[in-house]
Amino acid sequence: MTGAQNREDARGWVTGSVAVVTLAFLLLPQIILLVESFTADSYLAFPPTRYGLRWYAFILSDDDWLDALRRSLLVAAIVTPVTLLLGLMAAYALDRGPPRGRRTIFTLLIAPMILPHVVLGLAQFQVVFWSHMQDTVTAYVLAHVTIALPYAIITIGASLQVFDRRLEEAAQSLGAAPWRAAFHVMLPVIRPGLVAATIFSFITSFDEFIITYFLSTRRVTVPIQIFNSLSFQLDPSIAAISGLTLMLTIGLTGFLMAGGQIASGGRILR
Amino acid sequence: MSAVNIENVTKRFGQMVAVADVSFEVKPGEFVTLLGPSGCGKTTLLRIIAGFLRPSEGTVRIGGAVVNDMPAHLRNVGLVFQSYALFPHLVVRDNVAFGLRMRGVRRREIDRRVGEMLDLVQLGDRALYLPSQLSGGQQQRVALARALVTQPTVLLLDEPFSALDRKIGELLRAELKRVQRRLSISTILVTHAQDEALMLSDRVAVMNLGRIEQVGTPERLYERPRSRFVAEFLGRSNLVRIVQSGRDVRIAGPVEGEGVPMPGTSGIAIVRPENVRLYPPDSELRADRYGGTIEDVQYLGHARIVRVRLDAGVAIEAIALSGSDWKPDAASRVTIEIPSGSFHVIGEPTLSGASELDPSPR
Repeated sequence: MTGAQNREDARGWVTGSVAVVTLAFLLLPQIILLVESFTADSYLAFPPTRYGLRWYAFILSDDDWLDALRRSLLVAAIVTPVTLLLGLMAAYALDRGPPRGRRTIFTLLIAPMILPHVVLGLAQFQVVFWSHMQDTVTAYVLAHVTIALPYAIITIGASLQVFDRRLEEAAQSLGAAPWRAAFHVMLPVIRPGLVAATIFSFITSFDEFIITYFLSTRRVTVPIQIFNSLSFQLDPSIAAISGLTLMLTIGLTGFLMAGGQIASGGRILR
Repeated sequence: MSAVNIENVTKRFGQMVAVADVSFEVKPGEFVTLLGPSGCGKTTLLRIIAGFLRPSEGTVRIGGAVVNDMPAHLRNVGLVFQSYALFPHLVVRDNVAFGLRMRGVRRREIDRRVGEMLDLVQLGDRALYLPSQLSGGQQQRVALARALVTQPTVLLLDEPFSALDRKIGELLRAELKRVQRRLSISTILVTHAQDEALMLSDRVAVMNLGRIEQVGTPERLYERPRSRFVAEFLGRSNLVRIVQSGRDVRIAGPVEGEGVPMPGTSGIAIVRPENVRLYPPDSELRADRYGGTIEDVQYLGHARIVRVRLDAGVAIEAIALSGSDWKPDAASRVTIEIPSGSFHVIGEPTLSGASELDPSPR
């Protein structure tokens, strides 16, 4: 074995170890929580002495948890399409519009991503308080759209940037009016960007804590219910709801990604 | 009625004039090439015809109708890009069917016409492939089928062979010509490759600096170029000052180092290398022969390009076909012969020294 090969092997070994340690650091706490969520014990401990779906059954029958879960899903279900539509419109305008002021508009639109959420939350709290919209789904939706929009604009904008406009010209020369060329060619081609924007929007909304905390008192979302219940009791229902959130997020991502694959594969077979 | 008629079209981008007062027409079934170096305005002109740019001045007619204000999707033109521009999310069949779907043609009719067109470009067995699963040459054939299936008034081709390997490009050229003849569709090809233009076109329009320098059949342009630009853009050429007395034409000297015209010279002419004959150095000297020294020999396989420095100071390129007994060597002496009829006069030297060679300002 040569020295170069030795060095190569050593480097691979070090890289691999660092990756494993980093992944373990990132994922292990969540895996532990996930394992804990399947406990049949009445207290939170690792490893559980007995396993079961007891706590999942509990949160899916408990009024407080069900209420929060329903509200979170409803808000995310509204936030996602609204963000997608606004994000597409904004990204398209930034891509095709006149270059004057483009950078300024872009910076303003993605500002919520950079600004401290505590400040955003306080500002929105005032607006919502004065307009008596506390505890309303509308208030949550508006807040979540604000912070989800930058992600949508960036991901959709990135796919618009690599989109070859000659495809649209080809479509137009084949008799498609500009809006039909956009619908039949541009949208399908930038679909990966749209899928990513959908996932980001849904997760951003479902996970949002800080701003929603400012806007809510009694009608809470899942992250706030977790926080609230944590402050006075520590039982495995929190692990179960966390597990549910985790599985929902992973499941949604997988579903959308697989959906993209299936849909384009289906076209081949159609 | 012509398929396409361009009248005094000018296109300005701010201060820059991309197309300057261009007029030409394409007759039904005719294959016209816009040939010129990059930046000569040929692609801008094509985009004006396709409807993606508006002319600043002038009139564009397609099939007799003025289309200046007509959006691209109503013009009924077929367009093929250098980059193919196939829809990546649609299989070959759906790419070709796109134009028919947009026109609301019935499904059965679409299937029939798409099938015919795919057979015509010999891709009947690739109907269900995605563009990414095809080679470059196959993709460009799909693009051609897609552009032709709607039976456009005119087919516009924007450097369609430039992205392909040389060999594939040549095959596709022959196929394009076959399909074009078969459907007798009016076609405008934009290219910077003179061999494509000469091989495919009924007529060629040579463009330079936004203007058309000359329009004509490939033969006419090659044999009777009107300007130095046309002569040098199409094939190899020798440019010389000549003296003319009666029918006899002789080389007087080099063109470069212009300014004061040489006394006794009567014009500037081109000589194509294939019209220059090479003889051994000890050959008999006649009025149409010149002695010289070989400066450089480029071996091309089937022939050699031989550059000869005449004793009069002019460098002349000649073509020596391979296979003859005599092999030209650099630095050896040689005699060349240029018959008087092989000179083609393209400009008269004037007293100011500014010749007619390049009428457009740089």
